[in-house]
Amino acid sequence: MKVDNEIIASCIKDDRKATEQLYKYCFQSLMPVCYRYHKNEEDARSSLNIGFLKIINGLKDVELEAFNFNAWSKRIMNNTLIDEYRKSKKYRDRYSITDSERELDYFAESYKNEALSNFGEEIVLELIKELPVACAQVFNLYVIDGYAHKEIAEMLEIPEGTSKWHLSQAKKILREKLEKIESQNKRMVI
Amino acid sequence: MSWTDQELSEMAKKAEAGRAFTYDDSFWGEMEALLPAKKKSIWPYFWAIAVPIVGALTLYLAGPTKGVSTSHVAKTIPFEMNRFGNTNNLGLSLSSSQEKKVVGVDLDIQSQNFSPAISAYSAEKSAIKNPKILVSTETNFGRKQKSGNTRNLEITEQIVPVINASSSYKNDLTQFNREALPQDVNKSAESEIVERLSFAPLSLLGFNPYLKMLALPYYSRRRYFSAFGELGFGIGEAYRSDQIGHTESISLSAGVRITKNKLFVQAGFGFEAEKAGLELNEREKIYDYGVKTFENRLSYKQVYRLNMPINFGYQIAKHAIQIGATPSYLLSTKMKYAYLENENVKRNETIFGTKTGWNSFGLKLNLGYGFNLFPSTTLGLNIQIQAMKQLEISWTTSENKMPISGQVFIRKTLR
Repeated sequence: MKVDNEIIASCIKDDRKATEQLYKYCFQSLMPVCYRYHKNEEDARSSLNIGFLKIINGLKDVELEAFNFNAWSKRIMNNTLIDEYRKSKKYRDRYSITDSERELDYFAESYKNEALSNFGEEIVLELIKELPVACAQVFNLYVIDGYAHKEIAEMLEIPEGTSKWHLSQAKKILREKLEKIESQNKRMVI
Repeated sequence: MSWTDQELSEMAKKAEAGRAFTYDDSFWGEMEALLPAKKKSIWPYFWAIAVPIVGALTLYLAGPTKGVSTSHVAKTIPFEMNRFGNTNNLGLSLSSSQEKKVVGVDLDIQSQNFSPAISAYSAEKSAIKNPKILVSTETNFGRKQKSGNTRNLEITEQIVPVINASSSYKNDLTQFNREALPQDVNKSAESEIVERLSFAPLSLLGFNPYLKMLALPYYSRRRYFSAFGELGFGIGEAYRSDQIGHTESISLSAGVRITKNKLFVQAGFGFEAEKAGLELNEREKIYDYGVKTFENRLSYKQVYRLNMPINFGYQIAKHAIQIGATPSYLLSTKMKYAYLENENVKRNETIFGTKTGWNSFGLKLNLGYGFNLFPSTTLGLNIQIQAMKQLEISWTTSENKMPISGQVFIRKTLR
């Protein structure tokens, strides 16, 4: 499915059919973004709905000529998720600190019986979720969404250097975790 | 095995791309519940009420008239022409060719046998329709008139110069007006009128005075259409109650007017430029890593609208009162936009065309008074009240709900 200016124009006019079409599209394109910030699909969908509401409200202010809906909607969604995170920042911080080590062990145990060929992408995504929140945010925005450090710094309202530091921290933690899982798997095979 | 940065990135991207979520139709139901309720437009209701009213009034005003007065003024023409032509006591001398001209345009006077003159008032409605008289190039009055100049006797305003021409004649006319003519004109009454006309000081009346006089509006019950142009200057309350100031506007419109008896309906189409003086601010404060503020300042200088005024009125001599509505559509705006971060201006520019904060459609109700300064010129005053919200609710809670404005207008009636 493709979002064209006609659908967007209809959404601006509060055409509910067109809005539903746009929602379906956003569900596929933005749900993965939301899911990165949440533990389950329900919470991710709740964030998606909040973000979609902002998208609909914001559409009337955009210039349709040379309008990149994908990039724009992703940006709105990321900002929404970041705002949500800020609102529950303390809770998330505690959550991360308490569980990060335990989660590492859990993943190490969970996948120890998997074949080496299956090792990789799925585990990486789950491990990203277990990163400290700031590191995970920067990693997702930089690696998966393709934002530059300058943009990430603006979005997260942190210095550019801090963004770079979070990225390197994220990679370092991921690398350590993956190596640990890998060594566990090797031991099992032997 | 040591994982490189590139391997980590590729693995994460690949995993992200391969992730899919199953959509369920019930999700949309949840989402729709979060969306703001669909705005109920008042336009269907407005049109449902307005169209029948306008239709009924238009039918009434434009429909066939009753009684003997349908072509009352028109029927007097041959009678007068015949009289003046024969008696020549008004000093009007037409050559035979000129007379033919006069006769030829409207009717054949000879064949209609308009002597005696009273035949013009008979119930023969079909005798003359839309009388027009071609004025000869030269007359005894010594004034030149362009050949082929056509005068439509139904134009009521033509009487005014006649009235102003002579006080004695004016008295005659006033008396003439007071007397009931249209329905029960009898032979003696008409003879009397003709007698009075015969004594009018024609040298003061200008060209073809008898024709002008015959166009007295008070004798005619015919409907007629006219076009008009209108220029208005307005001043009104500010859009926001918390902002000191007022709005100023200038408008130019054109339209048509249908008159029947003393009632009239007029509809027009025009352009309005308004000095709005409206400020809308949007501020966001973020308490994270220190306090940060972001602010959008929208300072509207001018707004441009299309207006479609519809008015109904009642004319009493030179005075008219009218009530109506003016639907409008916001065409464009002129705005000074500023974006500030932590009180520092990051962007400052003039923008045309943005409608942020405004509703596209508006509706003003108005009550007006008009005074005929000259036969075709009316000076008037409208008091208007905004019946539809002009600002979007999301932008301000201090909107003046129904700002009042006043407008002085000058209207020129065209043929």
